[in-house]
This record gives sequence, structure tokens and C-alpha cells, in this order.
Amino acid sequence: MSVVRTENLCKSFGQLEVLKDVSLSVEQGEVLAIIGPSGAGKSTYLRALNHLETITSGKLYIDDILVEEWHHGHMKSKLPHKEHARLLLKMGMVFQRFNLFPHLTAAENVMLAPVHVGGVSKTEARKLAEEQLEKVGLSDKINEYPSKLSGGQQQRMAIARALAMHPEIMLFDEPTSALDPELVGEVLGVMKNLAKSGMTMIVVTHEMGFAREAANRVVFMCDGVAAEEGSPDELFTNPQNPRAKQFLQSIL
Amino acid sequence: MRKAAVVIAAVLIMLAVSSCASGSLSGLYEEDVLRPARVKLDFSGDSVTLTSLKGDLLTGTFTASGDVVEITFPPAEAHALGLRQVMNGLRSGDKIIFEDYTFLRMPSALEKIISWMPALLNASWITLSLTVLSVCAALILSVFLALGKLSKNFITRNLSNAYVFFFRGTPLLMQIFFIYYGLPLIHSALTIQSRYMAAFIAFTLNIAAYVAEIIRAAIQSIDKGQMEASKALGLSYAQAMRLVIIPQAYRRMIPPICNEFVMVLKDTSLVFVIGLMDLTSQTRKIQSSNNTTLVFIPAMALYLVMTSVFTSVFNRLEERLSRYE
Ligand SMILES: Nc1ncnc2c1ncn2[C@@H]1O[C@H](COP(=O)(O)OP(=O)(O)OP(=O)(O)O)[C@@H](O)[C@H]1O
Ligand SMILES: [Mg+2]
Repeated sequence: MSVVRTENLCKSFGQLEVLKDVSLSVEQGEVLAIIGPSGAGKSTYLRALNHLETITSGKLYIDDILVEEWHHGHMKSKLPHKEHARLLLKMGMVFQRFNLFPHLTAAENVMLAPVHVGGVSKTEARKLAEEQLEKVGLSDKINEYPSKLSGGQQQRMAIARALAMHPEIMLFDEPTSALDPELVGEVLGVMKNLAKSGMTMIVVTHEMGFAREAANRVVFMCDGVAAEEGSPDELFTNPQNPRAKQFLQSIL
Repeated sequence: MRKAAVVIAAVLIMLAVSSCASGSLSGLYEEDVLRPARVKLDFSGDSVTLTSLKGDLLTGTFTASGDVVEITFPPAEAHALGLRQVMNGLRSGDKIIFEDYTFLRMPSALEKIISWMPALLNASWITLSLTVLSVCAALILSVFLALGKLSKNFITRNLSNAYVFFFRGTPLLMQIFFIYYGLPLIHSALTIQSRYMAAFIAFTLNIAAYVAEIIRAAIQSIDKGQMEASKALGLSYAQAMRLVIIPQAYRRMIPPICNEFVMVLKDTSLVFVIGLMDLTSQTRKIQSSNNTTLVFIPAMALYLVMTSVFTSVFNRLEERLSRYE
């Protein structure tokens, strides 16, 4: 069963075609890494999945349910609002620039959505926040404001915040690119644990080491096209696509 | 705290300067005649003819018995001139008996200021309450206007824009005038009986347009990532606004809203067009009836005190809201 699947997903900003017929699917428990040069459309793809961008054409499935279908900027079908929102909640997202709520403490950041979206009581949410923050190693920062934490701690807090909604799949958009090099490891460590625990994940990353080690499958994206797809071994050692070859040579 | 001390010091210095200044001015020839005064002149020493006196003293009334002439001065500025001429006519040995001491002894600046204080404080209350009430009412109205301006809905957005366009684009003076005098002409049901109420409505409507812009700018200054993170967590637009965006925007609104308070405090002087006695109108009234500019000193001091109250309240608010930074 696929958790998330897109068929011929296209996205344009005006005349600019950013995504061209991207068809990908992610199975339960799978970790998919998306790599590719800057401007390839990787972020846009994740944002389209999570409804932060409306797609131009194509189909989006969550849990094998057709969530929406677009055709040249016109909506062809969409689930009723409630159902749509429920399915979108199955995705948790972690941003490159954390996007923590600066006016709330770590616990409050984690509690916000469970209380106001999940309808969980405050005391329960507090317990949930403590659990999630412990998972990412921030037990001692529960009452700190984000500005008091290091970049690595902030990103781990953002992961805890997303996990508190019990998503089926986590989307990571370059979670470590805004971090100082010495802080990258702690975030990747949390993500590896998460992968090991069976979480389905899509990770846009420039950390080839992580992609190699933790991903089941790697997609190379270039100019809005999913140009090559394969196991980390195949793709890193023997890329077929000339652009992929070039890209890997330039960064490895 | 430091600011309050500076204001108090400034007020004290102003009062000190003003009492020194008038100390040197006060005296017999000073123009400030506060009350009718009666003066007795004793001409036993030398001769001053009554007729020449009569000619000199233009407005006084005289009664003479023996050598003593009694002159009663009505309360007007010209009499000091008359008195001066009487004095010029005196010879050594003549006596002047002042029966009404207040004529001679000018009230000191401080005494004058104290005597004006009840009227000034009353007027300050109008100024202050009008400012606070209308800014607070405007804050509520402006949140809706700001959200309207940011709305994707064509009608809401354009209604809000038109509102702001109108109230920012026309003089406040005319808006006050129109609401008090103009509305009843359109329909008698629109008559607003109380001047204060009319001023309150006009100010609220006007300020809301400015504050809406402040709020809109503050909301838009919040990083887009905040809305995206909220949506990704499943919050609705309204929830994201209420729980995430607006709480952060608060802090950025505080300095410009404080500024707005201070501006409005001074703009309230426009209510003179509908005959409401605010601090500025009262000051001008005292100034013209007493023919003194001294009254501006306590009036300005009162404005400074009110301004510093606003600033210190807002500074404290800002400090409290900055705790997470
Ligand atoms: N809101 C937008 N409006 C117009 N163009 C956009 C918008 N968002 C992204 N783009 C364009 O879409 C293209 C793909 O952007 P995207 O952010 O998806 O790339 P990316 O693969 O994530 O790159 P990077 O590695 O730099 O993050 C870029 O050319 C970008 O300029
Ligand atoms: Mg990107």
C-alpha cells in the first residue's frame, strides 16, 4: 500500500514549469530521498504534496485515496473538505528554516496542534509534548523558547512538533542545510532513529551520506523531472542519467 | 521610570522659570487687573486738581470728600494706565491708600496656575478619555479592517480598502464636523446629541483606518514560514492567525500604536470645531480672557504627563511581550 502517490503531477508558476509529470509513490515504512541541483523543484514537490502549493495538473493519492485531481489549473475532483483535511493530517512536515513558533516554548510549540486541531486536552497534550521532546533528546528544554536553542536543537524540536500529530509520513525539506556543520549529525541521528522505528519518510537532502545509509530508494530530480530512481547503491555508484552523473560527481 | 523623572523635572523647571519671569514683571503697572479695585488718594501734601485728574483717569469713578479722592476701577486693562497717570500727578506727602490689596499685589505665576488648574484638569480629562476610548474602540474595528485588507475575498478586501482610503484621505477636522453637523442634515435620525459622543465616533472611525494599516503591516511582516508551518500542522487560516500570527504581530504593533496614541492625544484639539472643551481649547480660552501666555506652560506640562503615561505603559508592554526574543 502506498502512503503517498502522485501521478503526472505538474506545477507551474505562471509560465515557469517547475514540476513536469512527476509520478512517484512511497510505500509504508519506506524512506525516499530526493536529491538534485538547486531549482530542480524538490521543495515545490514536497509543498505540493502537503497542499502548501496548489498543483496545476495531475493526481495526488494519500493511502490510495484520490485526494485531488487537477487538469491545467482546473480542479477535476477533490475530496470533501473534512476528509481532505483529515488525509492531509497524515503528513508531517519539517522545514529547512525550522519555522518554529517563536512566541511559544518548546512544549507549547508541540502542544499547539494536538490541542487545537487534534482536540486533545491540555494535560494530555503536555504529556505528549514531554514524550516527543524526550524522543528527540530535548527533555531539558521543555520550557525554553526557540530563540534560546541552537539550530540543531530547534530542528529537533520541529521534528517533535510534527510527530506530535502522529503522522503516517514525514516530509523533510533539507532539514540540515540551515545548520552549522557540527550540528548536522544530531538532527540526522534523530531522523535515522525515526526511519528505524518504521516511519515512512520523504527526505529532500544534500546529505549523500544520509541518503546512502538511511534511504531505501533515491530519486534524482532535475529541471522539474524525476530523472532517475533507484536504490542508493545503484544510483550513487552507477547513475544512468548524464545529469545525475554530473551532479553526483560535482558533490561527492 | 527614568522617563517619568525627566518629565517631572521638566515640569518643575517650567514652573520655576515661569514664576521668576513674572516676579520681575509684577508690580503696580502690570496690566493684569483681576478684580475691580478701590484706591484712595490723599492729596493733603500738595495740590493736584481734581479736574486734571478727571481728565486723566478715563474710566474710573471719583468721589471726593475733603482732600481724599476715592477712585473705583472697573475690571479692565486700561485702568493701570489711569492709575499711572494719577501717580505721576502726586507730590511728596500725598498718600495712596489701597483698599483692595489684590490690585497691587499680582498673584504669583504659581497662584495663577493653581487657579487655572481645575479648568485645565477638567479639560485634560476630556482629552485623555477621548483619546483612550477612541483608540481602544478603533483597535477592535481595525483588526477587522486589517483582516479584510488581507482577505482573498474581493468584496471584503475592497470594502476595507475603500474605508481606509476615505478616512485617511480626508481631514479629520471635516470628519468631526460632518458627523456632528452634517449627519443630522442627511436624516434627523442620524443626529448625535452629545458633542463628546460625536467626537468619539469621528475619532474611532478615523483612527481605525490608521491602525488597520499598522496591523496589516505587522501581520505581513511575520515570516511566511509561520503560516506554512501552521497549515502543515493542520491549523485553519483563522486558527493560524489567532494562535500564531497575531500574537507575534502584537509586539511589532506596539511602538506604532503607542505613537498613534500620542498623535491622537494632540489631534483631540480639533474637537473645538464642535465646541467641545478639550485641553487645548481650554488653554486658549484662559489665554485670551486673561491675556497671558503663561497658561501654555501648565497646559504643555499636562500634555507631557499624559504622553509619558502612554509611553511608559507601552514600553512595559513591549518588554513583557519581548520575553521570547
Ligand atoms: N512561489 C514561487 N513563485 C515563482 N517561482 C517559484 C516559487 N517557488 C519556487 N519557484 C521556482 O521554482 C523552481 C523550483 O524551486 P524549488 O524551491 O522547488 O527548488 P529546489 O529544488 O527546492 O531548490 P533548492 O535546492 O535551492 O531548495 C525555482 O526556479 C524557483 O525559482
Ligand atoms: Mg528547496
